[in-house]
Amino acid sequence: MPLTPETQFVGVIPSGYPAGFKETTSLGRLDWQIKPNMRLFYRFTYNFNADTRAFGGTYQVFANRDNTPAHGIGWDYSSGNFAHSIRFGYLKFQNHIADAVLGNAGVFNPAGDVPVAIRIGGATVVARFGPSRLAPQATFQSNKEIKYDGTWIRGSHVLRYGVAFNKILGGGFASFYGIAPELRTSNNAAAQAFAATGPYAGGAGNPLNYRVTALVRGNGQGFFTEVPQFGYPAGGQYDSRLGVYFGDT
Amino acid sequence: MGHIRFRALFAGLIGATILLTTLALAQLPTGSISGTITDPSGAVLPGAKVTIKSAQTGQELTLTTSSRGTYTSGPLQPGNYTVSVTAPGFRTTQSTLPVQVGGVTSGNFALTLGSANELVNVEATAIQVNTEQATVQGVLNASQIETIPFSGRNFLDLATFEPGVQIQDGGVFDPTKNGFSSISFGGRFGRTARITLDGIDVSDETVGTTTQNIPAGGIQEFQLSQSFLDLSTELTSSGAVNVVTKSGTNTLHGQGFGLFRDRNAGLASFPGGKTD
Repeated sequence: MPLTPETQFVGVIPSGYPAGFKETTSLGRLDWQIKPNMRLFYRFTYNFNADTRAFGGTYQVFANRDNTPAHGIGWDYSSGNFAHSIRFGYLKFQNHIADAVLGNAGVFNPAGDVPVAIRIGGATVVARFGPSRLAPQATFQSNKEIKYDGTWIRGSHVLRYGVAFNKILGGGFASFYGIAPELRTSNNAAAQAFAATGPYAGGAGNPLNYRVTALVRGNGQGFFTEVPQFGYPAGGQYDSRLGVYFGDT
Repeated sequence: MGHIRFRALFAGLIGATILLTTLALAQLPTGSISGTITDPSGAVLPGAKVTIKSAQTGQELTLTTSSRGTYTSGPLQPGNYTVSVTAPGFRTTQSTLPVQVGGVTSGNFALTLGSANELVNVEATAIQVNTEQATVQGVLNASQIETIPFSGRNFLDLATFEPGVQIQDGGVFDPTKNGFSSISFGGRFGRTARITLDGIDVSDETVGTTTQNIPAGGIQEFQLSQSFLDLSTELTSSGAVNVVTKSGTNTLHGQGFGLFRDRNAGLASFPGGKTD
């Protein structure tokens, strides 16, 4: 993953880090031509991928996993001036994010075994080090779909119509800053000058030499607890979607 | 008062949603052949017999032209189809036409006078200009997908072969989209592209783009549409991808693909790899 280090980190920290990647995709499909004008098929897909990277071009690396099985059934039929298509679909998307920094050595984890994340910058983040603030978290989504598309030829008109209904479950669980609190520092000239005379080797290129200006904790640190009145549907929420169309094309 | 405003806003949103949905739903996973049969003078020919046959699956449809000389095949799996037209007093006219996903192939024929036993073969041009639909779209077929170079075997990267499209790294806009690409239509954000597989929605409804990668070897056709949203385009504010997987034939087929790169070869630092 490529990075563009801020001036004081050039030559001190790498401008990227290679990470492993694994992906599995599979697809199976069975077709049945029931009649010359009628067809049925079943299709299954499965996708798994795993990689390691950070979000927002930082050194807060996390391990990412995605699992998605999906099923689809289709039926096509035409008779005279009518044609019909019906589709059934189901998929389940699962994402898991786990910290990949703690326990590793090097520039990713300047504080070593001390579980603390470091954010350098003002309004704009210059660099982030240490355990991922996004971990641990899991995101789930399922989508059940039924759809009908029809065509009716009448004279010079091709009438097309259809209806689709989706039942979608979306949600997830996240313990932001769950691995470690985040220490924030400035990145102005004064902050860099202070860091340059810091006690640790590397001067302004060492994140440990910066003066802490703030400490941030998230829900993973028990900083707040959701209350019923808050109204946020944590964990997952069903959503229904219905669409219809008609047109003369 | 606040409740009334909220209800008005809510009703407005519902109305807008229904309107949008009415304008743009259902990206068809199939194609079709549609045309008009005429006689040598250009007059339409009602009652002509049109036979559409697939060489791959043996599927055969027999249709009769309407009082206006028109016919349409209904949904057809993408592939090549032989279209034969017969009518009393006219030579049998035949042509092989390609059917693309989401597309309507023009099957207009002008019959010539003669015996039905005489066969006229009409060579279809290799250049297909879609005069039936007003959408801006492109289709890549299986042989193109197998032969054109694209890196990573990520199926959404195929979109770069169409104009006005850019690929975005999904991991840039959301941490849960690592390993997935997204498509930016005309510079618009990649979250908004709609992805369907065999006519079934596989889009991520929370953060956008796809929920899964599809093996490139299993794709029969890859259709991309943008701008003009007609009925064949699923609900989206930018554009849509419609992927059709290879259909079965009378024989069993399959393929496998594997790539392994050792952690040392990649100098991978994470997780648990080399840290120097």
